[in-house]
Amino acid sequence: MAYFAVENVTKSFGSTRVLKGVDFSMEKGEVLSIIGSSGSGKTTLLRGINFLTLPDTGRFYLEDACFFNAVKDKRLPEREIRKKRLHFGLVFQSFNLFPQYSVLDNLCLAPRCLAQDKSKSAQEETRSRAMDLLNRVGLADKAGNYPCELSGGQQQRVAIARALMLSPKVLCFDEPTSALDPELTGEVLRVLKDLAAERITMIIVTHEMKFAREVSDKVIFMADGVVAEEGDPERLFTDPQTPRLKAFLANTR
Amino acid sequence: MSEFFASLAALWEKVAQQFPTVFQALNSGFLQTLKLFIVTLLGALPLGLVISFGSMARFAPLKAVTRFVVWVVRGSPLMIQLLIVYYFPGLVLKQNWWGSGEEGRFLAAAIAFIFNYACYFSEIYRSGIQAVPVGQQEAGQVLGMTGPQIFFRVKLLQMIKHIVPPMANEIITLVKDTSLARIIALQEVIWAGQAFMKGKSGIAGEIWPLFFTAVYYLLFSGLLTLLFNKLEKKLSYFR
Ligand SMILES: Nc1ncnc2c1ncn2[C@@H]1O[C@H](COP(=O)(O)OP(=O)(O)OP(=O)(O)O)[C@@H](O)[C@H]1O
Ligand SMILES: [Mg+2]
Repeated sequence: MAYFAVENVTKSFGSTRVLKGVDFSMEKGEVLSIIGSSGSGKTTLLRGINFLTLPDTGRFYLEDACFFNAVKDKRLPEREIRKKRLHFGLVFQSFNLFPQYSVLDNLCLAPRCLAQDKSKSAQEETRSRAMDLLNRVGLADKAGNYPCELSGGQQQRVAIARALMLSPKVLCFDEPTSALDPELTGEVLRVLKDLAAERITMIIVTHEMKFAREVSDKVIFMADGVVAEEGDPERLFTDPQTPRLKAFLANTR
Repeated sequence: MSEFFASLAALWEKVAQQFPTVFQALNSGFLQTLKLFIVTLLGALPLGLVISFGSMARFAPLKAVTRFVVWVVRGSPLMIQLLIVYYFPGLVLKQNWWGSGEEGRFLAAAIAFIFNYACYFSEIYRSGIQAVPVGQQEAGQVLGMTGPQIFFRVKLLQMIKHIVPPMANEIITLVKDTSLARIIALQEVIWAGQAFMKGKSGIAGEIWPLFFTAVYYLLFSGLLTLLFNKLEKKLSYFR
């Protein structure tokens, strides 16, 4: 009885097979971290889950109901894909805030585009939800600023709040601190810890091993397009079973 | 020395006396210049967008042909293109497309200018469109926005910001390039200035009206520069 599961996800770009059959599952409120060396397919997997690049094969399950089958749903119209996409959120390595909108408008833009109800009170509600979320990431005082006026860490916190606006069932992060100066990673990781404490279901691709160990309920080690090892973080980091994970951990220390 | 000042004073007196007549003739010449400028923009701004789509087409032959045409038009002088458009029908096809009057010359000039400038604009559009990072598109997608919403609410203003500065340069160049239409005897401001060398309205052998036409170009391009600077400033609140 898993909350979210993927089964046999494969993806090739031309003749290179990037994902060779990925399976994993997670419970509601869990934090799943994905680690693995560069090129192992972590980003491709997250992009698949968010329907940015559709997998060649594979099924996605939410609460044990299959809601996407890559083979069957290959030709699904964009409108249907968009609906499915809304189950998930994705925070990018490079933030990708909308530069011409203020922080507040970055949060409000998509909800307002999606809303059926365009009334003033609905708009006001979106706004107050946005302010709540900005408070949660500690940036309420930057609501009127533009992204270019913020530090990288602040931009990433805004991007996280923006993703939370749509209350995704599973929120994914692709190396959320990799583009940041070392002294700015702390503030972003702190926000992620707060979200974990609030039982937001998250998948985090990260190179921050210490963080992954502290915050995750489960860790997946990807190598060469497959899940090479998975399990409880303490076990995985202290007692790796496969030679590849041993080598990987030895290299990251 | 005093001789020099005396001749300067004489020149000044003559110019002051001839000025009203010349001013009127130059104004109507400049009206034609302005008309060519505006018609070129009205035609080339949308046509350039169409050509830029062609040059980014997924259908390879269309892309190749478009890029080749753009290369030819941008790589050869506008003056030659003007001459070809104006003389080709009559001299080669033995067809009198343009008639014999000012209207026909204007039509030929407008077609050459529109096509030439559309090719330049297409490259500006293309670089503006391609300058918006794919991350913007993807961020909109994962937030569930539709294609049109992403284009109009997220990408368009960023494209415009990229397009405005090079477009401003090109448009200011167009102000001065309109003078090339003189080569097919379009009666624009330079033609009007030159008329006073041969003789017109009782003034002959005078070159100062021709020199004076530069003032028109200066004022007009100066005005446009101010406007574009304002626009760029308006768009400078984000990066
Ligand atoms: N659009 C694409 N076209 C072709 N090859 C691609 C594409 N996207 C990814 N790849 C290839 O797929 C492989 C896996 O890439 P991916 O970005 O998923 O790895 P990653 O695990 O996220 O690596 P990193 O830790 O460096 O971010 C790489 O070899 C990459 O070159
Ligand atoms: Mg990656």
